[in-house]
Amino acid sequence: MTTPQADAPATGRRHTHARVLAKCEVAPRHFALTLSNSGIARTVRAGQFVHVLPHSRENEEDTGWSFDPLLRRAFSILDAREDEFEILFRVEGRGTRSLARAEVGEWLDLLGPLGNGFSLSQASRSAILVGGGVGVPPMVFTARALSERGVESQMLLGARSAADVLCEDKFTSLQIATDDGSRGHHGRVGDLLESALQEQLPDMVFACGPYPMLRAVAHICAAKNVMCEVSLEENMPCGIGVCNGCVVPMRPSEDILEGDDYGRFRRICVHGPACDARDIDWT
Amino acid sequence: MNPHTPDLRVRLGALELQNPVLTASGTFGYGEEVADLVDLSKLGAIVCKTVTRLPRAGNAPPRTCETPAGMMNAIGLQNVGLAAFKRDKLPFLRDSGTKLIVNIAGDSSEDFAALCADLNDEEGIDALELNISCPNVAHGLDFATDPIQTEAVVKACRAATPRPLFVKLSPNVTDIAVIARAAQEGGADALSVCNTFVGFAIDTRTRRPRLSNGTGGLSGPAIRPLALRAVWRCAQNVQIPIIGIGGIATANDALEFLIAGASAVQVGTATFVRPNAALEVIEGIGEYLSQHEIASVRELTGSLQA
Ligand SMILES: Cc1cc2nc3c(=O)[nH]c(=O)nc-3n(C[C@H](O)[C@H](O)[C@H](O)COP(=O)(O)OP(=O)(O)OC[C@H]3O[C@@H](n4cnc5c(N)ncnc54)[C@H](O)[C@@H]3O)c2cc1C
Ligand SMILES: Cc1cc2nc3c(=O)[nH]c(=O)nc-3n(C[C@H](O)[C@H](O)[C@H](O)COP(=O)(O)O)c2cc1C
Ligand code: FES
Repeated sequence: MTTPQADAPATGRRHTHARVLAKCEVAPRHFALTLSNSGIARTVRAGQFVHVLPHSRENEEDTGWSFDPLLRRAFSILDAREDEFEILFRVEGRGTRSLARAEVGEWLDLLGPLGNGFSLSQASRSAILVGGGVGVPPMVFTARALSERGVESQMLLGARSAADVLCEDKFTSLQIATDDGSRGHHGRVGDLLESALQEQLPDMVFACGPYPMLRAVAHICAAKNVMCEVSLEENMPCGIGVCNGCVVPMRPSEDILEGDDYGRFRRICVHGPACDARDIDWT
Repeated sequence: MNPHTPDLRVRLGALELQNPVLTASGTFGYGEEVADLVDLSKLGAIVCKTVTRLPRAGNAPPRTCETPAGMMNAIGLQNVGLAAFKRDKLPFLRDSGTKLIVNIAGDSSEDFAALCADLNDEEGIDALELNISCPNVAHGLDFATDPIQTEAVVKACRAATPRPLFVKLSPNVTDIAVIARAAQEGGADALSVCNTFVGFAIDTRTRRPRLSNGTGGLSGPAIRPLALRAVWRCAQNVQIPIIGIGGIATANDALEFLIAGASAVQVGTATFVRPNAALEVIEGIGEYLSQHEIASVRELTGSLQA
């Protein structure tokens, strides 16, 4: 079993800069940044990400780096058009706190587009998208890209509470679940997926969000024999495949041993973050 | 202004490099992963990820975490193994346009020597670096913390290959000079100083270690003064060339190591942040030499003023 597109080379990834065109606090502690970079905006695919130095700078040429926080942070592309793209993040730790201080007009140093992106071509007629927390943003891009291919998609969105619901205006068909019941279904987004699959089976399920949510989605899809791709997260020191840091455990299988990701572990910065849910060792 | 372009060539034993900046093992894959982002032919040399006899899956995730001005890793020597290395990785590395240093690790002196011997017939390898200092595998540090074992493993490798041998030392010792002398005694052509510092980090929310392996190896700018001191101490105690490693991110960092006694340097963690960090260091060293009207980078080595 191999993940579709897993071995596709990253197309046109580069080390580049982007100017902050807009910054918006879309929910408490959640910021959306609109960034200008035509190279990335014109080539990025749904599910890919950029690797961003958390410190912004006053000009493009400034390469003096600050060593703390040291490493880049990965952010999925929320959407892209012409020369611009957007990311959306939650202020979590040191990196995102620093990034939240970026001001309009300043420059960010970034690598991208990185990763494989979702296998949109696997969905010929219909897809279900599942997003939780900051896993919602990449689903906005995915929904639009699918609709441009004439594929109908239904979004199932999970959040802690009504205040944390992200991007709801970006989806045409949407159901919401919140942990505290303050909005939509009181419970997990997996419950929504189960009832949706009772009605009709889509060609594909695409999912991004916290690990427990992805594991539940993978099990639900496996039980119904529906193809499912999940977008995974791990700490990513390099984002470009050289450090072997960002691995996830794969189910033992012969071709994995033969493939580029020898052994049990796959680097998801290159052979991910989108992975066939059946390939993952969820134990 | 000095009208001449400065001479960046350095010599490590019998090996001559076009410049003194190498990529550190485990931070540059097998080169091919970043060939689209980095002009490999401009590097002093590529040191590839440690190769072991059999493929190794490595440790379970999480394998890395960020720490102040640095990071910890416990990769566990995930690598393709010797056979796949020769078949799948070496052809690319051979044609990269720069020198290749193959980093190897064995689990005994005999295994180290056999790995050296098994690479003897392969063309395009310019030197071997013995990783006797990996902190993230069982017994990984046994060699590098014991002068008798260090000398024995280097001797065994010396007898097994005519290639230049670099020995990568661990800083996790009481006095690195003792180990450095043992490696020189065993027949090392140069010393790579140093590998990562063993560290520990705890997630206070869960009260669990932040790495699945528990401990990890600390790298990045945080370790630079510690690594610099290790290089300086070695330089005062051995006659063979030293390759300085630890937290080097800019040309100025590299210059510190050269002045302290290193003949060359390796750039590791900085490459994760800036894929071209090593090339930026090379450029910056050149500018420094021009500005200070120094003809050759070799004049800097050990030029520390009292
Ligand atoms: C492929 C990929 C795509 C991603 N896309 C997005 C995205 O679109 N939007 C987004 O917001 N994030 C995204 N992330 C996560 C992002 O890269 C960062 O890891 C995350 O924002 C935390 O970074 P930080 O510097 O703020 O935290 P760090 O300081 O690096 O914290 C380290 C770890 O501790 C956790 N942590 C730290 N402080 C706290 C706290 N107070 N409470 C709970 N947990 C804490 C963090 O979750 C993190 O895992 C993505 C990650 C990957 C791998
Ligand atoms: C993710 C990672 C993997 C590493 N893997 C190896 C390895 O396989 N073999 C080795 O000899 N050193 C390995 N090292 C150590 C580096 O080569 C280097 O000695 C160390 O990181 C210090 O340099 P730096 O601060 O510039 O990174 C690794 C370091 C890191 C960060
Ligand atoms: S983040 Fe370094 S290999 Fe994936």
